[in-house]
Amino acid sequence: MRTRRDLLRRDGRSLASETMTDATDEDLMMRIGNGDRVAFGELVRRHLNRAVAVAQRVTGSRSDAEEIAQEAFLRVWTKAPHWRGGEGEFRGARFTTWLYRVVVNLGIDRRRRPAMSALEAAGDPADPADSALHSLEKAQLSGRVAEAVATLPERQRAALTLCFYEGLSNREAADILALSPGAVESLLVRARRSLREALAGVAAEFLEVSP
Amino acid sequence: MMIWRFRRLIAAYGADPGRWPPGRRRRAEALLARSAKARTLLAEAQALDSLLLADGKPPADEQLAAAVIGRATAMPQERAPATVRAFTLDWSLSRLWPQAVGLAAAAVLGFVVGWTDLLPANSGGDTIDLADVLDAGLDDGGSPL
Repeated sequence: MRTRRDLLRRDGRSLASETMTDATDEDLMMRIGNGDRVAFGELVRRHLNRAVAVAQRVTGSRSDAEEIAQEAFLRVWTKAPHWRGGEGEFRGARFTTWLYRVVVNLGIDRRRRPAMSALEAAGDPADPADSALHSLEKAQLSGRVAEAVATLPERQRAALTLCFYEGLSNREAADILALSPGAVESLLVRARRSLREALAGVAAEFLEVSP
Repeated sequence: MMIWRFRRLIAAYGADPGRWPPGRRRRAEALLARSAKARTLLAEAQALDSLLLADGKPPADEQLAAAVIGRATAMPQERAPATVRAFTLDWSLSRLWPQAVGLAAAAVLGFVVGWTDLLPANSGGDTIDLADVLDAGLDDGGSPL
């Protein structure tokens, strides 16, 4: 039976699983560039959640977000041999900057296609662990917020997603969006101002009844 | 930090200091400690943050991760262009530079020593004088040639 260590054996060297989890994204990209599937699996597990969440906020659709994440990681795999040389789109970029740039751009492209279905617009299903009423309120509130975020202009939505929801610094967001940090800050100010106005009624409606 | 700068800061990044740019965080916290107006602004920003965070996204499941890995690794990888391979080769050769420099330095030193005759002449007495050889041959009664 092949062990995980066997799977990690490459070029006469072996890499313990704990070393793989300690490896930087950039180290993993070097290995993926040599066809290392285990390194690719590690990178996917590290970044898939965030990639899907970013894509979902940019597109407003879970199914689109999952397709975008698949497309982005397909690019990671096929283009990884270029990573070592830092060519073209990889030039001077950290892995996460490159990945989220791909995800945001794919999301914006997808968003420009015809409108999403009514089912997607309904938001995420309620959490069965909550009481029925609370779950319903939570789902409705989540849906209203998602709807308000979805009406923002695409760059404002992308800046808010990266900085507020994903916790990236404004410098990282600026690299991803190919803007200056000051421009990202302006986008954030406008996004939050619009959301405060759009959600003024929602706050009064939900926050009073929620526990 | 002036209050208008603080207002701008939370208008962009919200109420959580963890999201504020590090360069402004300390001054903003100092203002919060001494300004009631700043604390009011912070509370307003917190209310909006809470609302926005109500829109949580569920994590991707293992099935999606498996699908992503399976679909991608079924595809061939692009090949790195030859220039990259050349660069890699150059880089590996560059590690031999210290040895190459040492070798060149030794060669130059050897040439200089040979050319300028810097080493002391051998005076240990084990050189053979041609005259002594000729004399020895005559003493033996033989011809020197």
